[in-house]
Amino acid sequence: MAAGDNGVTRRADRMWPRIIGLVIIGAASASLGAAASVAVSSSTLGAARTATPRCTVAGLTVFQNLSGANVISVTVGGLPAACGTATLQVTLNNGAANAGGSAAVPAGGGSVVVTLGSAIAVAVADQVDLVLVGP
Amino acid sequence: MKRVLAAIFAGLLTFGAVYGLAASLNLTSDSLGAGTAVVASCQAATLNASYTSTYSAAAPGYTVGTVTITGLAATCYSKAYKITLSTAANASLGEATGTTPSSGTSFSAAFAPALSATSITGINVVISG
Repeated sequence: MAAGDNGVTRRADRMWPRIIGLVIIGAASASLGAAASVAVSSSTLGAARTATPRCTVAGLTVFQNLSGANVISVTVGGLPAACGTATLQVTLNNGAANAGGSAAVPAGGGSVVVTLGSAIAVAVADQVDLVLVGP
Repeated sequence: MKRVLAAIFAGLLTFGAVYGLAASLNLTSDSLGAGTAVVASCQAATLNASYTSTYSAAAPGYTVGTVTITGLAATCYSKAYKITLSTAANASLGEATGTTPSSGTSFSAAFAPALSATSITGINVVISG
């Protein structure tokens, strides 16, 4: 009986290295799983969208100022304070030629007289284009 | 005792093998790797866009041929950029591409042909690299 007990003890002693070996194999398998992951790095990427706002959507008044039969300047009125400090560019096209100029809008808005770079003959129908850049 | 253990072992070996054979399948696999990385912006500070307008008799009207971006940080130097001007319906009017400068805080992008100032209601910017 005592010899049998010793035999069981010896078997148990031999089992421990096997159990430890199985644990090591399991751990190695887990490491193999981790090795399947891919290292990833990224360059920077930034993107944005924003509206290009209008300082006013209200109607503006436009008057042509004459010197004889020529237009020498254009007065633009009805500018709100939101357009203050913007640059107002005006171009008059009489169908045969065009002339333009620019002026700053007062901080409080109001009206602006834009002197044309060159006098241009007034026509029955002139086209006046304007753009406000800024503020 | 030895016989009993031997019988149990033999049983396990036999039925274990049968079970193994029954459960096995022929299987191959394509490679699969996964990872994660943060996609960061090169700067957090706000960029500002301004426009240079020019009269075009052909349009006719004012057009925008140049957009100037200010507020560029050094962390965004020498990177590829795209700028798209768009309409109220988010349709693209035109795109300018290039590389940000290696110094300074601003850069200009040219649009050719120039775009109708009246139609421009949005600007889209992406910087990558």
